[in-house]
Amino acid sequence: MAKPISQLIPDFTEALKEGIQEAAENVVVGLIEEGPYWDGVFAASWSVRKGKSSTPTYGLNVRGAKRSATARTKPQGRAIKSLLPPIPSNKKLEGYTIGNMTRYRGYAMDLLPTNFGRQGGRAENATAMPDWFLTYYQGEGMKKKYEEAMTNVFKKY
Amino acid sequence: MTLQSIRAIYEAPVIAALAALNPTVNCYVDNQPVKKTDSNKEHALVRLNFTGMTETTLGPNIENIRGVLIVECFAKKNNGPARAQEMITAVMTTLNNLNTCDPHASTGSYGTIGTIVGPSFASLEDRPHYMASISCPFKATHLS
Repeated sequence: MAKPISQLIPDFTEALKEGIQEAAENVVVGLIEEGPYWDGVFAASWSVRKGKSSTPTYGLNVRGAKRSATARTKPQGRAIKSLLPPIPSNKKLEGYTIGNMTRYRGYAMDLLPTNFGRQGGRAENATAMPDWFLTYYQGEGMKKKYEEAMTNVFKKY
Repeated sequence: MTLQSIRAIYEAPVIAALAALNPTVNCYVDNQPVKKTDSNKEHALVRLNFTGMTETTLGPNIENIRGVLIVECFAKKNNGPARAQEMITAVMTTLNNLNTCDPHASTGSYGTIGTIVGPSFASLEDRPHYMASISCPFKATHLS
Protein backbone atom coordinates (compact mmCIF):
# COMPACT_ATOMS: atom_id res chain seq x y z
CA MET A 1 0.00 0.00 0.00
CA ALA A 2 1.25 3.47 -0.83
CA LYS A 3 2.53 5.44 2.16
CA PRO A 4 1.77 9.12 2.62
CA ILE A 5 4.79 11.27 1.74
CA SER A 6 4.99 12.52 5.35
CA GLN A 7 5.95 8.98 6.41
CA LEU A 8 8.71 8.75 3.85
CA ILE A 9 10.25 12.08 4.83
CA PRO A 10 9.08 12.86 8.39
CA ASP A 11 9.37 16.61 8.09
CA PHE A 12 8.90 17.36 4.44
CA THR A 13 8.50 21.14 4.92
CA GLU A 14 11.72 21.38 6.93
CA ALA A 15 13.57 19.43 4.24
CA LEU A 16 12.15 21.68 1.54
CA LYS A 17 13.13 24.87 3.42
CA GLU A 18 16.68 23.66 3.90
CA GLY A 19 16.85 22.27 0.36
CA ILE A 20 15.84 25.54 -1.29
CA GLN A 21 18.32 27.46 0.86
CA GLU A 22 21.15 25.08 -0.07
CA ALA A 23 20.05 25.15 -3.72
CA ALA A 24 20.24 28.96 -3.81
CA GLU A 25 23.83 28.78 -2.57
CA ASN A 26 24.70 26.05 -5.06
CA VAL A 27 23.19 28.05 -7.94
CA VAL A 28 25.39 31.03 -7.00
CA VAL A 29 28.45 28.74 -6.84
CA GLY A 30 27.60 27.74 -10.42
CA LEU A 31 27.25 31.37 -11.48
CA ILE A 32 30.71 32.13 -10.09
CA GLU A 33 32.21 28.99 -11.65
CA GLU A 34 30.71 29.64 -15.08
CA GLY A 35 30.86 33.43 -15.09
CA PRO A 36 33.71 35.80 -15.90
CA TYR A 37 36.38 36.67 -13.37
CA TRP A 38 38.02 39.94 -14.30
CA ASP A 39 39.03 41.79 -11.13
CA GLY A 40 36.81 39.86 -8.71
CA VAL A 41 34.11 42.53 -8.36
CA PHE A 42 31.54 40.80 -10.56
CA ALA A 43 32.06 37.36 -8.97
CA ALA A 44 31.71 38.86 -5.49
CA SER A 45 28.58 40.83 -6.38
CA TRP A 46 25.88 38.17 -6.56
CA SER A 47 22.95 38.93 -4.32
CA VAL A 48 20.38 36.49 -2.94
CA ARG A 49 17.18 38.07 -1.60
CA LYS A 50 14.13 36.48 -0.10
CA GLY A 51 11.00 36.09 -2.27
CA LYS A 52 10.36 37.95 -5.51
CA SER A 53 12.44 41.08 -5.25
CA SER A 54 14.57 43.42 -7.30
CA THR A 55 18.36 43.26 -7.13
CA PRO A 56 20.01 46.48 -5.93
CA THR A 57 22.64 48.11 -8.16
CA TYR A 58 25.93 49.60 -6.94
CA GLY A 59 26.44 53.34 -7.09
CA LEU A 60 28.29 54.96 -10.00
CA ASN A 61 31.52 55.20 -7.98
CA VAL A 62 32.00 51.40 -7.84
CA ARG A 63 34.09 50.55 -10.88
CA GLY A 64 36.06 47.53 -11.97
CA ALA A 65 39.85 47.68 -12.05
CA LYS A 66 42.03 47.30 -15.15
CA ARG A 67 43.34 43.82 -15.72
CA SER A 68 46.34 42.41 -17.50
CA ALA A 69 45.59 41.06 -20.96
CA THR A 70 47.16 37.72 -19.99
CA ALA A 71 45.36 37.24 -16.66
CA ARG A 72 43.21 34.14 -16.74
CA THR A 73 42.89 33.02 -13.12
CA LYS A 74 39.50 32.14 -11.71
CA PRO A 75 38.60 31.17 -8.15
CA GLN A 76 37.98 27.50 -7.48
CA GLY A 77 36.83 25.34 -4.56
CA ARG A 78 37.18 27.11 -1.21
CA ALA A 79 38.01 30.42 -2.87
CA ILE A 80 34.47 30.44 -4.31
CA LYS A 81 32.94 29.97 -0.86
CA SER A 82 34.55 33.22 0.29
CA LEU A 83 32.77 35.08 -2.53
CA LEU A 84 29.28 33.80 -1.69
CA PRO A 85 26.68 36.29 -0.47
CA PRO A 86 24.73 35.64 2.74
CA ILE A 87 21.68 33.48 2.02
CA PRO A 88 18.63 34.63 4.02
CA SER A 89 16.47 32.03 5.73
CA ASN A 90 13.54 30.60 3.84
CA LYS A 91 11.13 30.05 6.74
CA LYS A 92 7.93 30.58 4.81
CA LEU A 93 9.15 28.93 1.59
CA GLU A 94 9.22 32.27 -0.20
CA GLY A 95 12.03 31.22 -2.55
CA TYR A 96 14.78 33.59 -3.68
CA THR A 97 15.70 36.23 -6.23
CA ILE A 98 19.30 35.94 -7.41
CA GLY A 99 20.96 38.80 -9.28
CA ASN A 100 24.22 40.64 -9.75
CA MET A 101 24.65 44.13 -8.31
CA THR A 102 27.22 45.54 -10.75
CA ARG A 103 26.10 48.23 -13.21
CA TYR A 104 27.77 46.37 -16.08
CA ARG A 105 26.03 43.05 -15.38
CA GLY A 106 24.21 43.08 -18.75
CA TYR A 107 27.57 43.12 -20.55
CA ALA A 108 29.27 40.66 -18.18
CA MET A 109 26.36 38.24 -18.64
CA ASP A 110 26.49 38.66 -22.44
CA LEU A 111 22.90 39.92 -22.49
CA LEU A 112 24.04 43.11 -24.23
CA PRO A 113 26.60 43.16 -27.04
CA THR A 114 29.71 45.29 -26.62
CA ASN A 115 33.18 45.71 -28.09
CA PHE A 116 34.65 46.52 -24.65
CA GLY A 117 35.75 44.35 -21.71
CA ARG A 118 35.14 40.67 -22.37
CA GLN A 119 33.51 41.49 -25.71
CA GLY A 120 30.79 38.90 -25.28
CA GLY A 121 33.42 36.24 -24.58
CA ARG A 122 35.46 36.98 -27.71
CA ALA A 123 38.24 38.89 -25.91
CA GLU A 124 41.61 37.16 -25.77
CA ASN A 125 41.60 37.13 -21.96
CA ALA A 126 37.91 36.32 -21.52
CA THR A 127 37.43 33.92 -18.61
CA ALA A 128 33.93 32.68 -19.47
CA MET A 129 32.43 31.15 -22.59
CA PRO A 130 30.29 33.37 -24.84
CA ASP A 131 26.65 33.34 -23.69
CA TRP A 132 27.71 31.63 -20.46
CA PHE A 133 24.76 32.98 -18.48
CA LEU A 134 21.96 31.98 -20.87
CA THR A 135 23.60 28.59 -21.39
CA TYR A 136 23.82 28.06 -17.61
CA TYR A 137 20.31 29.33 -16.93
CA GLN A 138 18.45 27.75 -19.84
CA GLY A 139 20.71 24.75 -20.39
CA GLU A 140 21.21 22.17 -17.69
CA GLY A 141 23.84 23.85 -15.51
CA MET A 142 21.49 25.59 -13.13
CA LYS A 143 19.05 22.70 -13.00
CA LYS A 144 21.87 20.32 -12.07
CA LYS A 145 23.10 22.61 -9.29
CA TYR A 146 19.55 22.84 -7.90
CA GLU A 147 18.95 19.09 -8.07
CA GLU A 148 22.33 18.31 -6.52
CA ALA A 149 21.57 20.48 -3.47
CA MET A 150 18.01 19.17 -3.09
CA THR A 151 19.13 15.53 -3.31
CA ASN A 152 21.85 16.08 -0.70
CA VAL A 153 19.43 17.68 1.76
CA PHE A 154 16.60 15.17 1.26
CA LYS A 155 19.03 12.29 1.82
CA LYS A 156 19.64 13.60 5.34
CA TYR A 157 15.95 13.46 6.29
CA MET B 1 23.72 12.44 -36.51
CA THR B 2 24.67 15.71 -38.12
CA LEU B 3 24.91 18.83 -36.04
CA GLN B 4 24.48 20.93 -39.15
CA SER B 5 21.03 19.49 -39.85
CA ILE B 6 20.03 20.18 -36.24
CA ARG B 7 21.24 23.77 -36.49
CA ALA B 8 19.20 24.10 -39.66
CA ILE B 9 15.97 23.15 -37.85
CA TYR B 10 16.21 26.40 -35.89
CA GLU B 11 18.32 28.71 -38.01
CA ALA B 12 16.59 28.21 -41.37
CA PRO B 13 13.06 29.27 -40.28
CA VAL B 14 14.43 32.32 -38.43
CA ILE B 15 16.44 33.39 -41.49
CA ALA B 16 13.37 32.88 -43.72
CA ALA B 17 11.04 34.76 -41.37
CA LEU B 18 13.35 37.78 -41.22
CA ALA B 19 13.94 37.69 -44.97
CA ALA B 20 10.16 37.78 -45.50
CA LEU B 21 9.84 41.12 -43.70
CA ASN B 22 9.63 44.34 -45.63
CA PRO B 23 12.38 45.58 -45.86
CA THR B 24 14.19 42.25 -45.54
CA VAL B 25 16.54 41.69 -42.63
CA ASN B 26 19.89 39.97 -43.11
CA CYS B 27 20.55 37.28 -40.56
CA TYR B 28 23.93 35.96 -39.40
CA VAL B 29 24.54 32.65 -37.66
CA ASP B 30 27.50 31.40 -35.57
CA ASN B 31 30.97 32.09 -36.99
CA GLN B 32 29.63 34.37 -39.73
CA PRO B 33 31.03 37.89 -39.49
CA VAL B 34 28.51 40.69 -39.89
CA LYS B 35 29.20 42.44 -43.20
CA LYS B 36 30.55 45.98 -42.78
CA THR B 37 27.63 47.23 -44.85
CA ASP B 38 25.20 45.67 -42.34
CA SER B 39 26.96 46.59 -39.10
CA ASN B 40 25.26 49.99 -38.96
CA LYS B 41 21.97 48.81 -40.46
CA GLU B 42 19.22 46.45 -39.40
CA HIS B 43 20.35 42.86 -38.99
CA ALA B 44 19.90 39.84 -36.75
CA LEU B 45 22.19 37.32 -35.05
CA VAL B 46 21.29 33.71 -34.30
CA ARG B 47 23.49 31.82 -31.86
CA LEU B 48 23.04 28.17 -31.00
CA ASN B 49 24.88 26.45 -28.17
CA PHE B 50 24.66 22.71 -27.65
CA THR B 51 24.50 21.77 -23.96
CA GLY B 52 24.22 17.98 -24.15
CA MET B 53 24.05 15.08 -26.56
CA THR B 54 23.21 11.96 -24.59
CA GLU B 55 21.39 10.72 -21.51
CA THR B 56 22.73 7.89 -19.36
CA THR B 57 20.56 4.83 -18.78
CA LEU B 58 21.13 1.39 -17.24
CA GLY B 59 22.20 0.27 -20.70
CA PRO B 60 23.89 2.22 -23.45
CA ASN B 61 23.52 6.00 -23.53
CA ILE B 62 20.54 7.27 -25.47
CA GLU B 63 20.64 10.28 -27.77
CA ASN B 64 19.06 13.42 -26.33
CA ILE B 65 20.32 16.48 -28.17
CA ARG B 66 19.67 19.75 -26.41
CA GLY B 67 20.91 23.29 -26.24
CA VAL B 68 20.06 26.96 -26.11
CA LEU B 69 19.06 29.22 -28.97
CA ILE B 70 19.59 32.99 -28.80
CA VAL B 71 18.24 35.46 -31.36
CA GLU B 72 19.13 39.16 -31.32
CA CYS B 73 17.46 41.61 -33.71
CA PHE B 74 19.03 45.02 -34.26
CA ALA B 75 16.82 47.89 -35.44
CA LYS B 76 17.64 51.58 -35.85
CA LYS B 77 18.15 53.44 -32.56
CA ASN B 78 15.95 56.42 -31.62
CA ASN B 79 13.13 55.32 -33.94
CA GLY B 80 10.75 53.80 -31.40
CA PRO B 81 10.27 50.10 -30.63
CA ALA B 82 7.90 49.15 -33.49
CA ARG B 83 10.42 47.77 -35.97
CA ALA B 84 12.37 45.77 -33.37
CA GLN B 85 9.06 44.36 -32.14
CA GLU B 86 8.05 43.44 -35.68
CA MET B 87 11.36 41.61 -36.19
CA ILE B 88 11.31 39.70 -32.92
CA THR B 89 7.62 38.80 -33.27
CA ALA B 90 8.35 37.17 -36.64
CA VAL B 91 11.14 35.19 -34.98
CA MET B 92 9.01 34.08 -32.01
CA THR B 93 6.11 33.04 -34.25
CA THR B 94 8.28 30.96 -36.52
CA LEU B 95 10.05 29.26 -33.60
CA ASN B 96 6.77 28.55 -31.86
CA ASN B 97 5.49 26.89 -35.05
CA LEU B 98 8.22 24.27 -34.65
CA ASN B 99 6.26 22.85 -31.70
CA THR B 100 3.63 21.35 -33.96
CA CYS B 101 1.60 18.27 -33.14
CA ASP B 102 1.68 17.23 -36.81
CA PRO B 103 3.53 14.00 -37.43
CA HIS B 104 7.18 14.53 -38.29
CA ALA B 105 9.05 12.76 -41.09
CA SER B 106 10.41 9.32 -40.21
CA THR B 107 13.93 10.26 -41.33
CA GLY B 108 16.12 13.31 -40.88
CA SER B 109 16.12 15.71 -37.93
CA TYR B 110 13.33 17.37 -36.05
CA GLY B 111 13.23 19.50 -32.96
CA THR B 112 11.15 21.54 -30.57
CA ILE B 113 11.78 24.54 -28.39
CA GLY B 114 11.14 25.14 -24.69
CA THR B 115 9.86 28.30 -23.04
CA ILE B 116 10.85 31.46 -24.88
CA VAL B 117 12.41 33.96 -22.46
CA GLY B 118 11.96 37.56 -23.54
CA PRO B 119 11.69 39.52 -25.68
CA SER B 120 13.93 42.01 -23.93
CA PHE B 121 14.66 45.37 -25.47
CA ALA B 122 17.68 47.62 -25.03
CA SER B 123 19.01 50.76 -26.62
CA LEU B 124 22.71 49.99 -27.07
CA GLU B 125 25.21 52.51 -25.73
CA ASP B 126 28.08 51.92 -28.14
CA ARG B 127 26.13 51.02 -31.29
CA PRO B 128 23.50 52.71 -33.45
CA HIS B 129 20.98 50.00 -32.63
CA TYR B 130 17.92 49.22 -30.58
CA MET B 131 18.06 45.52 -29.76
CA ALA B 132 15.31 42.99 -29.20
CA SER B 133 16.39 39.54 -28.03
CA ILE B 134 14.93 36.20 -27.03
CA SER B 135 16.38 32.92 -25.87
CA CYS B 136 14.98 29.43 -25.45
CA PRO B 137 16.17 25.91 -24.76
CA PHE B 138 15.67 23.31 -27.50
CA LYS B 139 15.55 19.54 -27.89
CA ALA B 140 16.24 17.76 -31.15
CA THR B 141 16.36 14.24 -32.52
CA HIS B 142 18.11 12.83 -35.52
CA LEU B 143 16.42 9.83 -37.13
CA SER B 144 18.70 7.96 -39.48
